[in-house]
Amino acid sequence: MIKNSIDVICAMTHLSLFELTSLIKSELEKNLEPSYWVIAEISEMRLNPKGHCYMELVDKEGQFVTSKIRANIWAYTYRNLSAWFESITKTPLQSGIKVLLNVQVQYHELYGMSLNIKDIDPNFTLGERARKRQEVIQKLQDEGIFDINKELALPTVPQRIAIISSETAAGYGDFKNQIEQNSRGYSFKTKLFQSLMQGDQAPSAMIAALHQIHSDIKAFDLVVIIRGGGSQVDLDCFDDYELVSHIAQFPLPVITGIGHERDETIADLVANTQMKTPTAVAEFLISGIERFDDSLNEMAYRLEKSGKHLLQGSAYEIMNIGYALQTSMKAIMHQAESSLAQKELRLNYAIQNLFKVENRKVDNFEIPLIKAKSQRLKEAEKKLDGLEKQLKLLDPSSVLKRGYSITLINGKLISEEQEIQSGEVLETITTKHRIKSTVKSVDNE
Amino acid sequence: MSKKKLTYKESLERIETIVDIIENKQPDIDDLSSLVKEATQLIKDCKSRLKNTEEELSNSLENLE
Repeated sequence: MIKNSIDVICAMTHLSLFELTSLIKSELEKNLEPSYWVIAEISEMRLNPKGHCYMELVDKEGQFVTSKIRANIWAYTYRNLSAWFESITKTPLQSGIKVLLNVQVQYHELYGMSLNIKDIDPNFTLGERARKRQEVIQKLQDEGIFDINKELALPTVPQRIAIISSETAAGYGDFKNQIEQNSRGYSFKTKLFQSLMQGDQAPSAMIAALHQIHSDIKAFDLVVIIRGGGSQVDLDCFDDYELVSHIAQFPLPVITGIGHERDETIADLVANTQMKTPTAVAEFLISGIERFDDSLNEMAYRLEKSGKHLLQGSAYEIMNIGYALQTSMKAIMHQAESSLAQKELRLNYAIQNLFKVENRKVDNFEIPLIKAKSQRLKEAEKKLDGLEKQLKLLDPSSVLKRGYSITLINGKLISEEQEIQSGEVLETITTKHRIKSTVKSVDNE
Repeated sequence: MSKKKLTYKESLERIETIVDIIENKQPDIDDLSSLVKEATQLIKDCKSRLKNTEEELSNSLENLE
């Protein structure tokens, strides 16, 4: 009885699990649309060796997961969808992003509930990312740090370079080659700070590298963040708030060469200078040194030119001074000569004049002299005449003529003291006669 | 010389000042020679530093002290 009743109960009231799951499956198929467009975040994702993609989709309110379900994309669909998605968004399908999916609800008796993804709308992800990016940018701007690194002056000569990259990255090799083989032979000092450059761990690894550089900051002129160009791989790490906030506030100029073709990442936006590729960064640095070197060349050229010019000017100046000296010397000489000649003339004139004056003076003296002379002569003549007359008067002959006579004794006139003796012979002279007589007597008076 | 090593920027500024003096200020011929010598030496120093960072390296090591 009991056994029967159990059988009855079993037959009446319970289903096998399979029957139940089958029931669920048919109910779902009956009541659900063939597919739905659903917004969800990919929280986990993996590919199996056959190329099927398995995901876990979640919905969140803040940090709290409010819903969770498994999903899959069959290999063939996945190949098409992922390529399409990546070509539009420049980002591969990966965990952490929000997607708009076309899903069919599947229920499998053995594997349970899951969603089969038939299509993805990449435009939603683009918009979603743009919104998130905008949030980060807005936050940086609100905090006043968005432009800080841009405002740093690039070094005059960017010669000591801290590189954040991965040693194995193609872009790093490109950069090193370019920098080391620059055509003008500038020497750079580079130091690599190894970091992951993609994936969830990349932001914190790059931040650690920045800290390392900061501890030896005096040894560097700037920081470059580079990674391989070409492949469009994960760039979302360069939109990470923590990373870009560190880049923006780093005290050395940061140059990015992340190597991508999509819109710039936020790291590019806050960096001092953004370049498309690592090679472009190298060229930029080399051109910075070239500019400085060219300035040096220009200065050297101007120095030589203006120095020469100045020297030439001075030489001219000296020559001109020489000429001027010569000219003024000539003028002075000429002046001296002509003044000398003039003086000579004047001297001659003066001498002649003097002669004339003196001659005239002489003349003036001469006339009275002559006059005086003739006067004297006349006077003398007159005197002479007088004397002559007197003489004539005194002449004994004229006395004789007047009747006087002269008596001589012994041929001489008789002097008063002379004693005359009788007998002496006297000679008496008259005008006509000479009479000789003998003294008879002498009476003395 | 015990003179502090000029940075690239300071060097270029000094060179520019000297060139300006020579171009525009009519310096004494007596000063010209020393000005040209100074600028030429600075240019030479900068150029050799551009091509050889060993000195730079030792300088930055000095700076760490």
